[in-house]
Amino acid sequence: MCFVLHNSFLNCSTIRFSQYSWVEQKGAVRSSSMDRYNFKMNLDQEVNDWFKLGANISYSHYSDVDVSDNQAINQGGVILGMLSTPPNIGVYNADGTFTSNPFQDWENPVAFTDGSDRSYKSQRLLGNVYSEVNIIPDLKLRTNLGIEYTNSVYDYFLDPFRTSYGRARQGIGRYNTNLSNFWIFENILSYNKSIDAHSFNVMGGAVAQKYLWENSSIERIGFASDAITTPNAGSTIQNADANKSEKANASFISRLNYNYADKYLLTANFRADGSSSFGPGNRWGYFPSFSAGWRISQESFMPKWHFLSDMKLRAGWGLVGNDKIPGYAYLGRVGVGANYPIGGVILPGTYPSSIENRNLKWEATEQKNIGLDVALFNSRLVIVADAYIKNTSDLLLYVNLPRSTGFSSGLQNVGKLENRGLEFQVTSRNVTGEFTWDTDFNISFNRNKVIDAVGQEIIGGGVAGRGDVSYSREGKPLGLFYGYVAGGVDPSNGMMYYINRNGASVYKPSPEDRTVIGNPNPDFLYGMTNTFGYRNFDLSFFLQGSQGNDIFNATRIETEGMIDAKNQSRKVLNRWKTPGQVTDIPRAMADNTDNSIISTRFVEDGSYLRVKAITLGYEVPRDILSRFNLQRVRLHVTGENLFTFTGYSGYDPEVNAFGTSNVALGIDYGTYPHTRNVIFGVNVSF
Amino acid sequence: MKSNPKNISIMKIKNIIHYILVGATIGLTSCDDFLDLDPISEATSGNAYSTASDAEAALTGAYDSFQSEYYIWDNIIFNDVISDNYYAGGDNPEVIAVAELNFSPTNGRLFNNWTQLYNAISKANVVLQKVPAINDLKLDQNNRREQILGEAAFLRAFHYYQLVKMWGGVPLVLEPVASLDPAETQLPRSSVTEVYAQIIRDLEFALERLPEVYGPSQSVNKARATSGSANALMATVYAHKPDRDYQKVLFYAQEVEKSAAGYRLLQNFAHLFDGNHYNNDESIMEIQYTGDTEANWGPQLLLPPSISGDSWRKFVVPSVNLINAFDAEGDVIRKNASFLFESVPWADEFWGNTVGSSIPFAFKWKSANGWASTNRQYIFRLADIVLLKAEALNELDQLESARIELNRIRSRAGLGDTPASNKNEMRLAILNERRLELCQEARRWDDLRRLNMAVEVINSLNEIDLRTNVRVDFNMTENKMLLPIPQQERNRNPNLSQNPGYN
Repeated sequence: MCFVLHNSFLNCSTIRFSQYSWVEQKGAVRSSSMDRYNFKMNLDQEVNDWFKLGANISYSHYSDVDVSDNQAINQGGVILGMLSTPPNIGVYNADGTFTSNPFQDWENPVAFTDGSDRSYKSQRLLGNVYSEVNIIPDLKLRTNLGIEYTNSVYDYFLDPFRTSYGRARQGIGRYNTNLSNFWIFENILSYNKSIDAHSFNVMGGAVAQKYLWENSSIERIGFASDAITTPNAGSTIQNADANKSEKANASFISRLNYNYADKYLLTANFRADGSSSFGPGNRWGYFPSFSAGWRISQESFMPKWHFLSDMKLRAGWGLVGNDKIPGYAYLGRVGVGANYPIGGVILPGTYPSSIENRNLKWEATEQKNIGLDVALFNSRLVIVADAYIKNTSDLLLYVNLPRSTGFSSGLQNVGKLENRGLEFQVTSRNVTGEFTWDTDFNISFNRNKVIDAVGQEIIGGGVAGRGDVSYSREGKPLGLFYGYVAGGVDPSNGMMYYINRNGASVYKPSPEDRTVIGNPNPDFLYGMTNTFGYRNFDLSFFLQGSQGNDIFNATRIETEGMIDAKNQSRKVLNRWKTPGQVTDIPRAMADNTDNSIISTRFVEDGSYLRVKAITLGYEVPRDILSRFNLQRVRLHVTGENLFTFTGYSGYDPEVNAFGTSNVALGIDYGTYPHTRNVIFGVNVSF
Repeated sequence: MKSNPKNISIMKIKNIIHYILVGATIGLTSCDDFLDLDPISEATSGNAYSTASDAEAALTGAYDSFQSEYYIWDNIIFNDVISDNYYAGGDNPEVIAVAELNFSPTNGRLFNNWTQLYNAISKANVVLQKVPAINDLKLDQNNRREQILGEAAFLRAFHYYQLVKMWGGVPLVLEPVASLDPAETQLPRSSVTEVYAQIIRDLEFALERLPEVYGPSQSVNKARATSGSANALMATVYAHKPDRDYQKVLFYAQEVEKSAAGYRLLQNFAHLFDGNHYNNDESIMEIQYTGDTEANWGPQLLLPPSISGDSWRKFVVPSVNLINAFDAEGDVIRKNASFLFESVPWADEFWGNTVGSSIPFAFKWKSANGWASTNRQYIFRLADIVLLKAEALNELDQLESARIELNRIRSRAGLGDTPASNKNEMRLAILNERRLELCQEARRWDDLRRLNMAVEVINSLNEIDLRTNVRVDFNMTENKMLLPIPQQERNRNPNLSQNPGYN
């Protein structure tokens, strides 16, 4: 359940805009919650006819209590814990401690949600001041100084009584802080000129920006009671750490716009970007781009069809850089803290923490696109179509290294990736008048392919005890599932058999028998919004869908694996029990993973259509508002993620256990699902 | 107030100049300096190795690998649990699979061990490559530079010995990897002979440089590699390599005994493991823990609820066969020091299939201290070397000399002289003595394989699973003498071949 309050002011003097909002949410999993509020204010001051000053400030406060997901219960994962803990062990013992599985050393999942106090709090302040000087008519200098300051605190307390880990450590108190300071300084000159039907806009400038991150953490153990939960009440310092890091960027930017009679539109950009993430000689990347537009409907040769409101052809080419990697990525770094006691004294020790890569450079994406915009029937029907090819070269990726190097991965520019796609968007005002009905529909088709991975396989998506699921290979899409082909269950002994590379059935296939068993990339994504209006009421439906993508349901490895004393899903009631039994669920076999290796058994169709949001709104009539000096009041109720149509058997087809990784996609491993929310909101404008 | 247009334009021009200057200062000058950042809280390969104390820190980092999980308890799993000494206990399917000799190349413990050992090697490689080039006079006082190189060479040899006995031939990485070129990162396996040859080269290099002792402090002498620990590893390696050389085993075992460090057997066996006699005279080298931040979490996994303070099922449970072996010898002293029987709130499929049964616990570690124990593992202790010496003498047909060495160990344990009357009986007597003396010290599987007895001993075990009352079939084979190369590593390095019998 959520609650939103919007509260905004409009004022025409110096305060331009100010807003306050607040959201509170209780999570789908016990103990998880979220709370957020923010306000912002913009100020402008025209000092005189050639000088303008302004400032913006915004503050936000965010706090949550998280639960850990994407892990087995053995590693503290709550979602898999909930599924795999035998339900008959209860929650608490008579003495108030948490029960545990008698065959295993982990406690029931309530111990993970309620056993510890966890709170995360983040405060963010964004601010900027700017000035605009008109040097001569049409020539303007804009200077902007902006800052972003974020302070996050994580508090953790495990009491010394209820959990076995808490008892063993006699309580744990942790306090972690993350401080982030960012500033940006921009100086931009722009020149606007219109001569007859020609209009020009030329812009050039310099931007400098810098990040500073400061982290600290402390942990104490040995608490006398649970009365004081901050680390100062612990007797022994277990960890006391503080560290800092930086990153800097500098850019020179320029742009030329040319427009002839709103018929021919040209834009040219050129920017040079410098980044501290790269070594001398590779710091700077140069990124030009061009685009052109042709409003055909304005041409005299076009027949004056009354139904055609506007038609525009667009084309563009450009290069975009990416340096989203840590600040000193190219250096071979040497970490500290590898300490060891010699002579009864703890000596400081160092270790190589990253592999040097002096050749590291900007990733660049070359994008080519053409598009057509058509507006028909007085712009009641607007169709936008785009086709693009994006070629990313020098992809920045942490490539898994053989561990014999002493490193787990190394940051590399690994070859080329191609994305090509088609996007269509249709906006239609179906019915106008007192009753209105608008429809927005979009659909996109994207195909990606690894063109060159410098001869390597990029692997990801490790599942505990089963190995890596995701492989990215030259000539193939990103993150394909790679594993064995499950043939079925042998009725004679209940073992899964697999089809090897020669087409034979085997119980223990060899790694060479692995093949592509699924593709997490969808054939297409689509969305549709229908909005109805009648008098002061409005109602909108937002549908969203994905078609043709596979999900590797690793959650089922935990709930149908039948290898240890974990609760299993009802599916395993159909497991093989006697010779001759024909079933698709293999026999239970303790401590043996042969029946639950990475195979087609766990690959499912992840296509879905979801009712993402339904909103009903009501505008309070003006004549009532005017009595209270209010500009606008809107009440609304929104339901999010209300229904999902899918054949997928897990909680949520819209998941990935590996977050935003682009080489490990579509894997469900006890992943926190999207929650069904109901939001009540009030927007007030003064 | 109204200003005239002329004033405005002067002000304006001044302002404009000011703006352009500010813009130019920040935006244009020293752009490359602005982007040239050095890490604040980390060093770099360019500046981390320039002084004597940098060299010491790099070496300390290499020693720190002894606190990795492999040396905390995976070496026990892959020597004692894998063999006839201990059951898996606990709840970890991957440990249970090892106990059942059901080795899957995707077993995560294999990959972790491989990772940790190679990570340890990479730190030793850094020392061996960087320290010779450090220009600091302090480093050459008292021959410290050469000692550091000797210590690092010993560490590298010790880790490669772990790798070669677990997996056979492995890639030989002898320099820090400083390139991401697959030609440099994806090395194929070297042969078993090549790996042992490198280990011996490293140990010879170390022996030329390592002192017998560093000074009067035992907590230094037992923490750092010494000529004693290098000789002990030499004796072990010559006994374990495929072309065993018992002359060398004997020679290096005698070198250990001759050391000015004055290694001697403790009179009281229990003192070795009571937690009150760290860095004792019998210890040649041991992993150092001080508790707090440098603590051993292993004991918490093994010790019973009365000591650990928690109630879940513990790992590494002594086998019926092992306890019987102590009882058959009437070995009370070592049995009491090595095991603790306790009634527990869980069932054990080998000792008592009902809750509340009394089962033995691995007890060479004595205190858990809330996951933060100071209890240690010996890297080498003299009794191990004395028994290796006995084995060498016996194999060299010096039965009576072997008997003297064996009886030294037996008499300390309160046992009478060995009745072994010929070479074969003596070989079995020494093997059994090593089992009783060194259980839970990561020696058993190596001993069985070294003497080529692993298949016979394991397949003749009569361990009954009380849940089904069926004898466990471990199905030990020649191929299982080596572990499978971790599949995750083969995924990362296509040039790695798999060991026979695994796919």
